[in-house]
Amino acid sequence: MRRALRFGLGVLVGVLVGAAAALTAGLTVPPVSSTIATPTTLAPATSLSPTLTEPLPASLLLVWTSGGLPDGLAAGVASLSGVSAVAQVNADLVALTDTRDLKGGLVGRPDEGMYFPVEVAAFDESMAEVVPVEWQGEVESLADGVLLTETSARVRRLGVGGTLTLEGDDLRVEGVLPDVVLGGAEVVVSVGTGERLGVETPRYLLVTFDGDRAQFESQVRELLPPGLPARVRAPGETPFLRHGDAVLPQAIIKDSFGEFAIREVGGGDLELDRAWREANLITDEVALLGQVTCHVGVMSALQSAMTELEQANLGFLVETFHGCWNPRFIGGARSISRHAWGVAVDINYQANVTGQTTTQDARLVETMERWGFTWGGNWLVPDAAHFEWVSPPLP
Amino acid sequence: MVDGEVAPGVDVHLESCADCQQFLADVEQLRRAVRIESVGSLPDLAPRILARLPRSRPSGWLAPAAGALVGLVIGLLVTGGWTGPNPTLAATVPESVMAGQAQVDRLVGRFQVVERIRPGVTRTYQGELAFRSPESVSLTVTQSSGPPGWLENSTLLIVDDDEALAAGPFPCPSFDGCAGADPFRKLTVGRDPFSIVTPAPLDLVVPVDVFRNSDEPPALPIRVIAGREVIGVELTAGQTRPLLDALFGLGNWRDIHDTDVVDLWLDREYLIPLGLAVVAVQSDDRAVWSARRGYVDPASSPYLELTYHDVSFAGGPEIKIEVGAGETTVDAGYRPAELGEAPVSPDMPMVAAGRLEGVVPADVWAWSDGRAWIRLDRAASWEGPGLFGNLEGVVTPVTLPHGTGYRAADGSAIYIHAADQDLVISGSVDYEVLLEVTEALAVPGQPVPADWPESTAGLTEGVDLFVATDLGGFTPPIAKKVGEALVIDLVGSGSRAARITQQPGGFLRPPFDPDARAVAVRGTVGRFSPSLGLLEWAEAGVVISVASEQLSLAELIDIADALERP
Repeated sequence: MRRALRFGLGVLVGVLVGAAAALTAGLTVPPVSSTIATPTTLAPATSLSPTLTEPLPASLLLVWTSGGLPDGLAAGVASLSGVSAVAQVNADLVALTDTRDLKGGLVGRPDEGMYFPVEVAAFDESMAEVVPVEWQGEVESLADGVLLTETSARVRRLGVGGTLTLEGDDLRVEGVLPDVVLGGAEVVVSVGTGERLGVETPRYLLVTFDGDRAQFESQVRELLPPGLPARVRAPGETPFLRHGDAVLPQAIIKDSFGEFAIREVGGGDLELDRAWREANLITDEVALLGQVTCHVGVMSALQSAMTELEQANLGFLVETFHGCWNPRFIGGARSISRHAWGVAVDINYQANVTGQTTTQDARLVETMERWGFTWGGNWLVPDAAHFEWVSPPLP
Repeated sequence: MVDGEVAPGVDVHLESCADCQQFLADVEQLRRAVRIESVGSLPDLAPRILARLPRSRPSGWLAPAAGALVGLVIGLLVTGGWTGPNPTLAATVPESVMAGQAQVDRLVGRFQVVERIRPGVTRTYQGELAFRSPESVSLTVTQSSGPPGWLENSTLLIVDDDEALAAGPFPCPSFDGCAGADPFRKLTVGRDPFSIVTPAPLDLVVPVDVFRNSDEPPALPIRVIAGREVIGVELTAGQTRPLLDALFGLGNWRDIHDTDVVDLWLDREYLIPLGLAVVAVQSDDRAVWSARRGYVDPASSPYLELTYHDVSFAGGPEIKIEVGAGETTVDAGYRPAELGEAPVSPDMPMVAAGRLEGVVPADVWAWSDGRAWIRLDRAASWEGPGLFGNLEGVVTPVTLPHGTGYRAADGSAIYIHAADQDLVISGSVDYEVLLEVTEALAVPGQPVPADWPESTAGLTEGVDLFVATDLGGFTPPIAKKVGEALVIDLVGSGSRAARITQQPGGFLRPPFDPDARAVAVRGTVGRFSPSLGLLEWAEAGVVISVASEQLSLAELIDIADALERP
């Protein structure tokens, strides 16, 4: 069974990496600046050339649930008819306190008493065997080292041979892979290293499945505790096969909006390093909302969206505003809220409580989406007051 | 079952005849199979036949046309015998609906709704619709049975001129409720006439928005509902969405898939929807969609049914909002006011005049006759960027006797940008009627500034992206820069329109639609988001999207294939 799983994973990761090569070649995030809503340049890269000629097969599927996978889900999914392989990925936030280059020179270190919060994913050993030849060496060397995504390497200003100090453990960078191959994680380690670092929360499964997808999704539902929803995705449906796929991975958020160091101050609140705050936050007047503190990169889009609503005499759709920048963990979880970067806003929270659906007017949602904010109302666990920046505005 | 003509006597016989029941079931299954094949060729959201609109009716007012069309319907009924589907009669439905909306002055009806989630899991409702004018409507839907422990799904909507009251359960992802999900009760005051934010459920009275721009729908056999003869037509749920939204806009209902088949039964005289049944179409995509929601929808019977059991066109309850039960109140900013003589006089009684207060104050006039209505908005201080009142996006310029105007893609509004004012003429009536009103205004409309999104002035200097050069069925496309994006609007006949957007980038943003799926497009892997009508893909360093609420995925892919890099 184990061998079959690995063989199947070879197939699925081959597909995954093929997709990665196609979709992440030259993966770029639009530069963030205060002019994000009205950029003035239009200079597409010419080196990117996706080569996939067919839709990615539904045989590769992502399965994730909010807050971590329930016990036994991986084994349950592996036992389903038509499933030939299941890989589980754990992921958690880990404290990064030091980065050094190939020669041991210091690259980054937070202020005293602070740390960089880094999302670390732990791949089990079977992943190493199934990565295509192109990436096999890097993944096999995972035993004691780490892999970075291209975006994460850019944020870290590190390459192969560099060192990360995670939870006091010095780990060498063994490879830099396309973001999609590593599910957009900032750092990837082996399961063993992950256990040492406290990365033990099962987040998502990658599954090879040959059969009826609707039947598969129904069967997965039956494996879950009552009331726990799951999201199933295939390549192409979402840019990164990972948990929380409705928003940008943290690595891309950092690449776009900068990385801060944090100090936990209790109650889930965080103190962010002063340099980041001074360089990235802006307080300005926003129509309908008043004085708002957000990241400078999204302020213009937010102002444009609110002004548009106001000028259409739809300002009354914004009944209450609950802030943009708010440095804290996500409620009940040890993940950094996008509010900590100041790239999300909460509107009309009292009537749109997390976990319930929505009374938001469709025009408010449509306007925010057009200006680049994804809406939490469609999430696996609805958060209908939440609007989070994910892209430049679409006319 | 709503579909199928079954005389009362036959009903009684059927109940005691197992063979007959089996035969009827087999016939029904066969008919469904044939029908599903036919419907399967329809686009996801609206039919391809929208391109063949019979929009040749000369300009004129509603009453004569309505009389003629209703007469035609009656004449056909009297002479036809009506033992089966009548394509000729069904073909008249779209125009009859548009023309006949002025005929309904008052309506009170009671109906039953059956909502099936999966076998053995059903909710039933009793409802009442009362209509005294387009701005005086109430809709009450009270759950009468359902699984124990589920959130009660009873709703109330009352529109009373410049106030509207909406009440129901707090929407919850789970049918059996969410912690703290108390029912809500929301009062809107300062509501503007024929508001788009708090609309009256007028497509339950006459389904104008369903049939606006529609072509000839397939016919179903004539039958009797609530003692009245009804005409049956077959539509997709996507086409029927305005009516379904009017009925299920509040509350915690199951979802309806846009490709499903809707049998819609309209009162032959007043064209009021007296019955509908939604039946699942079987496809891989829909199977995934239903699996995610825990639905089990057989192909052989409706999962959602509405059937009137009595209807009256006189009397009815007084429609009045009773406040004081813990409502939350919002003010939409409209104030009735004396505005002096209206700048135009449509052939309908004026029912409202006032001012929308806000950063862009606007004078508003409204006229109504039966279910039909026309509204004029006028702003004196609009500076753009973009046409005043245009929330729909794609428009097409039209030449008016006194200048330039802009037609909304679905023909439901005309925009004018003039030197000293900006106007919106909108309504439920046919586009030709709106055009007559617009022409009567005699306002010298100007082309919008070149940097407004609606401008047809090409602004692509220095841009090296994909352009559409040969798109049959659409006006010649003109590309323009909007911020960092290159935008191409396509306008076809009827309501056919699409927007192509290009921006630099190497990967798609996270999906906005939970039901997004991968598709093949231009030799690569793209993504289609059904709820947004949005096809996206990344190619040569550019993220490209084609969006349309009217076109099918196949048509969006055709448009994508037509893009070329100069």
